[in-house]
Parts: sequence; structure tokens; C-alpha cells
Amino acid sequence: MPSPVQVAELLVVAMAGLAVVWTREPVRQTVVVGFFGLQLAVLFFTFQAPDVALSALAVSSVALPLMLLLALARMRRGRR
Amino acid sequence: MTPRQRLLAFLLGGMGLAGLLAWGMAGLPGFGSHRAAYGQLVTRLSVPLRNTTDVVTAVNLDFRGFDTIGEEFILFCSITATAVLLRRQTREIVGAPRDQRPGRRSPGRDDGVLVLGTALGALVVCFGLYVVGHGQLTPGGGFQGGAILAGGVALLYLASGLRAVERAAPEWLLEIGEAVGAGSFVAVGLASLAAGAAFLQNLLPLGTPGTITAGGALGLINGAVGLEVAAGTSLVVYLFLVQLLRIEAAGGG
Repeated sequence: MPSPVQVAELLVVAMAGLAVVWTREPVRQTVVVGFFGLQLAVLFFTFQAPDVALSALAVSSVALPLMLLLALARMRRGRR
Repeated sequence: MTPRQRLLAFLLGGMGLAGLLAWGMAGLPGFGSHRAAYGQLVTRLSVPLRNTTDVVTAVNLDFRGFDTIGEEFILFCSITATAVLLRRQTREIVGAPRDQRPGRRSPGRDDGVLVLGTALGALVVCFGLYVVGHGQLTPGGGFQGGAILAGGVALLYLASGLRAVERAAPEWLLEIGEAVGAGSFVAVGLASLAAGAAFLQNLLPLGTPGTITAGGALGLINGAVGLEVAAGTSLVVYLFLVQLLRIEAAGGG
């Protein structure tokens, strides 16, 4: 059986995933997607996969939001 | 099709899918029960065969290192493609960084941001190097550490602006770093071919388990991957920043 921590983290990830979809404003969505990535990393860690957790941490909570923000900023500048 | 019919079609399809999913889930092995022989075998053999305590690194870079070379070049190609897309177009000019033009006070000039960003940046770089160097001992390795190192470049920009990034990690250095990193991985493999063994066969002394010398060629490969990922990811971040701050359409814009 999964431990209570694992069940709790699964629920948090599910809610964070919904939050990403329900956030419609791109800049806010980028922040939320970073939080979702952070929760994924915690999820992997609670399931005893620290290697994957580190990758998820670096990619989905740092690199991905960073690229999205930079692209959004560039688009916003181009529109002005 | 009326909305009513569409809803009916969706409900029928959805129920079918839910049924199939439930059927499939019922046949899954119990939570935490592990039947695959390969996983058990590799966990048990990683220390006796390679003196490597981090099994994931041993699998990725040694037992199935050839796969990882493929993945390495997926990353390499996508970074190259991104760099091509982000290059200066013929109708664009490269100007001075917007964040450091006279008359513009950038957020980076704030003392608190400068101090915190610099201190955190130094910490992040140290941690990244640690993660790259200890891949064979503890969770982590070249990929994770490399991405953390690239985070250091982003922090440097936040703290001190684009010019500081260009001084610390100029574009040519990042390009060379990425190419040398990707090439070194293949070079390690070719070196074992040249020594008369199989491609990527681990020929270096395996060291003592639990120390930084453990794993033989794993340390070298981790360093190569770390260099490639750190330089490549920093390059993409840098090129995005140049797009944002320097490049503009010729004739204003």
C-alpha cells in the first residue's frame, strides 16, 4: 500500500495539474507550471526515485518556466 | 449532430474508455510489487561489477551507455535547432542590451537582488559541480548537475544583467563547451574501441565504492554530459536573452 505521504502527494500533484489547466493567463500559468514541476519532483522523491526527482526539479521547475517566461517576454515586446 | 447527440456519443465513448481502463487497472501488479528480473539483477550487480552505488548512473552511462549517447544527441540537436531559430535575421540588428541602456533602471541594479543573486549563484554553481562529480555515488550526475549549472547562469543574469553573462560565459565558450561535452562522450567510447574492447566498455580502474574514484569511466562520462548539458542549456537561455534584450527589427521596433 502507498504510504499516507505518497497519497497526499499524489493528490497535490492532481490538484496542481488542474490548476495549470484552469489558469488562463500565460505568465501566471508559467508560475503555476513551475509549482506543478516542483510537486512532481517531490512525488518522485516520495516514491524513492531521487535521480528522477533531481531531473524533474532541474527541468520542469527551472528550465521550462524560464524558457516560457523568456519566450513570453519576447512576444510581448514584439507586439508593442 | 445536435449537442444532445454529441453528449450521448461522448457519454457512450467515455463509459467504454472508463470500462477498459478499470479492466486494465484490475490486472496491474500490486503496489510496490516488483516482478521484472532486470531491475533486481542490476540493483544487486551494480556494486560488485562497477563499484557504483548509484545504480541509475551505472545503468544510464555504463550498462546501457549506448542508449544515453543517443539521448545526448537528441539534446544536442534540439539545442542546435533552437540556436538556428533564435539567430539574428537579415532584417534585424543587434543593439546594446536593453536592461543596461542609459536612462533605464533595470531591476538587476537593486542592491538586494544583486547580493542575493550573486550569493545564490555561487551556491548553485558549487552544488551543480557537486552533483556532476558525485553521480556515481549519490543520486544525480551530468544531466541533473548540468541543468543546475545553467540555473547559475540565469541567476547571474538576474543579479547583474546581460553584460555580466557575456563576460562570464561568452557565446563562443558555450558553443565549444557543448560540442566538446557531446564529443567527449563518444570519444570515451571510441577510446575503449581503440584499446581493443567493446564500444564504451569500462576499462578504467574501478576505484573504491563510496569514494569519488568509484566507477572508472563513469566519472569521465558524467563530466562530459555535465559539460554538454550545462553549456547547451546556458546557450539556449543566453540566446533567448539576446532575443529579448539586444535584437530588434532594423529601423526601430
